[in-house]
Amino acid sequence: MKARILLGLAPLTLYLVAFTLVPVASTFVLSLSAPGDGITLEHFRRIAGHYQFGQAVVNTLGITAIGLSLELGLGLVAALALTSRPAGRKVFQVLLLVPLGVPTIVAAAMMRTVFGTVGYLNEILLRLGIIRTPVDWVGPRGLALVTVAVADAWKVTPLVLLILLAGLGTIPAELYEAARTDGASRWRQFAAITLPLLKPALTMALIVRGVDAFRIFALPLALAGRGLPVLSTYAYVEYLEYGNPHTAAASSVILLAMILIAVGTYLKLAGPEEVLR
Amino acid sequence: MSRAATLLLAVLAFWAVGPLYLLLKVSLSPPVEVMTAHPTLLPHGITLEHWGRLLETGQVLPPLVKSLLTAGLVAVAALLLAAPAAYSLARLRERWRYGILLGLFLFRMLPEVSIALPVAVVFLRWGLLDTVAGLGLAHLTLVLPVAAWVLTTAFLAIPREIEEAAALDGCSAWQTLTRVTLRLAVPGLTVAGLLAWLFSWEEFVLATYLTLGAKTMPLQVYYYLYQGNWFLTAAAATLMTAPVLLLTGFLQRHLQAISLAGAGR
Amino acid sequence: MSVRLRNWWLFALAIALGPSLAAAAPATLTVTMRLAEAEWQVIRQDVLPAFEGACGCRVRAIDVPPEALTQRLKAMRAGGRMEIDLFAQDNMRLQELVEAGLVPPLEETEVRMEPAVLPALAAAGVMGGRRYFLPFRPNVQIAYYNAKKFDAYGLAPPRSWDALLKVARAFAEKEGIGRVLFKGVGGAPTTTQLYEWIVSGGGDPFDFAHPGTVATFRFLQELAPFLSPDSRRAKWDTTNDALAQESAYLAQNWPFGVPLLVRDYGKREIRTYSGWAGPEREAHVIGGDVLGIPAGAPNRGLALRLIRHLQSREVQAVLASRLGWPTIRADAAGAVEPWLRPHVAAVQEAMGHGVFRANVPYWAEYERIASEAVERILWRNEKVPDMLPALAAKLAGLRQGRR
Repeated sequence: MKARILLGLAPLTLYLVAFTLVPVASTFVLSLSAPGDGITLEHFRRIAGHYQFGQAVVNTLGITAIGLSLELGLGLVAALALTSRPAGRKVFQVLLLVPLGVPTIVAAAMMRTVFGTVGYLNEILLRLGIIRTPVDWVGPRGLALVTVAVADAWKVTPLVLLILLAGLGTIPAELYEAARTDGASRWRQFAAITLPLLKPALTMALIVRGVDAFRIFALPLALAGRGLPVLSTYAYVEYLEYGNPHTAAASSVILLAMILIAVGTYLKLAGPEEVLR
Repeated sequence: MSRAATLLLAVLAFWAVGPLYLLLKVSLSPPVEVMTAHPTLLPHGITLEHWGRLLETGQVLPPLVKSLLTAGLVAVAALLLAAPAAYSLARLRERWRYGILLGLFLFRMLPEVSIALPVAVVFLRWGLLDTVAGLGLAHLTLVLPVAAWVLTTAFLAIPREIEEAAALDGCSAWQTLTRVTLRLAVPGLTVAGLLAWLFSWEEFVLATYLTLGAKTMPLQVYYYLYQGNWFLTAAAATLMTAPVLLLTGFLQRHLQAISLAGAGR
Repeated sequence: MSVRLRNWWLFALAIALGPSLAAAAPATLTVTMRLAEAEWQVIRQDVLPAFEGACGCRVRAIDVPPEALTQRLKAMRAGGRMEIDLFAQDNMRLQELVEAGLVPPLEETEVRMEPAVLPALAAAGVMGGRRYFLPFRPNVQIAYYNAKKFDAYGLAPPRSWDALLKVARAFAEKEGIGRVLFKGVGGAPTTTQLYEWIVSGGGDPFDFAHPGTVATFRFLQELAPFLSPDSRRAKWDTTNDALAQESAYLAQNWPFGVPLLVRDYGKREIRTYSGWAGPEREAHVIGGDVLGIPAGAPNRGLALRLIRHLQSREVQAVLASRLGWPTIRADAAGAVEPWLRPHVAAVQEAMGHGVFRANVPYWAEYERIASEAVERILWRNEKVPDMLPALAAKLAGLRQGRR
């Protein structure tokens, strides 16, 4: 039995070791290497000194936090709504999954035409009389973070929805029946049955999305330019525009560390056993 | 409750589809309706000139084909690699499973710009520039963690008792696997395959480094976005979204099973 | 049955491995450039076929953005396979190619510079006394304005800083939002614009303590409240979007926007002129592309022939007449299409006030400092006397070779 397990894991593991460890290791090495041989923390020191780096860290955390809340919230609400068998469920399911298939760059371009100063959102609000002068959605920092988070949530909520739908599908119907016969209210059923049993799916959604949320790249770049740096765009600019692979690698390592800390903290808090059945 | 759910879903669906409608509309609109401080929301004039220009360039068919081939390859390969691994992972002790699944994500935790260069160098050495196989291999690396995780969850959801019952009924190990387990895992396999396909379809950072002359569809759209005009971009982007809608629609049946299972409330 | 199956796999494998299995075919020359779609059409239809006929070879022309070229060449060199024979690269991104050893210097015999090529442009490819690149196209930014909006408010396109400030203020007051664009995205676009503003203000772009430079930053500070918020993300492409969608009525940009705005988008009310003068003079940075052959290029001989073709009188005339490009030769004048003529005139006038960006080894760091200065003044509202001295000191340190 053990042999079969190892055999099953073998192709995947070999492949990933070959293609994963090498780039990760080489990025690590690059972030610590000095001209000639030697180890140096100079690159880390340098980026810590850049005023844009601090901004990038804060912005990344902000967008991730707001975005994840939106995605998980909306995803959960939509998943619950779909499983309650409303009219037109099939149609809604297809429509709600559509943004998943829109490529990130296309989504970024579309969001630019929606949230621009002469964009569609301002146009709608102007026509409805809600605003009188166009709003700069990506000007003030706080608003920009929300706008980018919303634009990102547009594209990725379907993924969360899929994962949560699958999770909801694993909850046995009998549990709900039993609760109903016991006279439990809808809310009670949700809190006592759905939420706890959905924890593994929520965790998967959180981790899968969380890792990608920290890496957000195309949307902030397209919507707000360099005025709203995030860690990925910071690494990009270091690498491609300033031609410095070392500081780019250093910022990537920091991003990696942030993600590991975030994921680790979540798992510690949520209790690993319950969360990863 | 059902009416509230329908209303909510309608609003969300509107939000989900709205920007895509705008994209399609732009691709069919005369410039005067779009290139203004007050763009029109509903189509007033329809023109096919942008689509005509796009197809005339002859630059869309090859990328479309290449992207289709690559995404298909990635989806199939992801399932072939991840399914056995997920099956095994589902039978491991929790801590091991936990560790391995998280470890798989290590690669994904780096921004693409950092991994693109080392990956590109290796692939160039192997002569995989501009090839479907090369790009597919690179995409696989980013797709396998999610596929493995989704499939592990899917296999975990299949109660051991069913497999044991099948064995008791006289099924061989292979028969149990194909007739029982895999059939029950179809929704999970569909989701994993679909996610793999979608990821490969829209990936463009690695594609930038691993292609020179043979662009993929996202690269072509990216090119129009920065160096073409907005109408060509909208048309190309709509073209790029069409196969996705078709695929999702086609796989609806299998995704249905997921929500049906939880519909006993 | 098993034989057929085996063949099927081979077939699929062949498709998947594609081009790398290509057998002996006519020599294929791979050239990369970064051009707008309208420009590519002319290159592909009018320029390359003549060369293919003459050399009996195939030319594979590929679009590669300037910031990606260095990394691509590095990747190819590390992978042991140089796939690119010739590239056209932004003349502001040459330092990194030479420093990384990606481009070998050209031999004397290879460089038969035609006498008709303008000397100033010919000099652009020389570094440290050796020639690495050959001129291809000069480029310069012009000012675009929305004539309809200017007329509606009875304003004229500004020709001086005072006029610019007046116009910016007028639009901002009348519409409640700024309508004049400054490329404030940071990096190369911002630095280029800042550079020419400083020169026209009588300052030294590399000395932030120079009175002319300080005066330029002070002017920028005065202008800041009246700038369009889109300036934050304005670069070469978003500037065109802003002009097209009328969120900006006045902006400086490279001329490639002309076919896009006037022909593709039908915005005939968008006009161009050379721009405005600062207190000292009118100045516009001359950018453009040069041609280079990477180390290890498989078809070096053919590449050199293509360079000569691209520099020839016929081709430069085609580029001038179809795209309105300024030419590198004094003897190539094409009959410019009528709709393009006023814009070409604007470009020629701007070229007349052209300045070359000095080729300093610390340009990347300089861009960072310049971008920071612009961001802090424009978006963080910091006062010039407060924030500039520190940056000036940093820049001075850079000049003396300390990093």
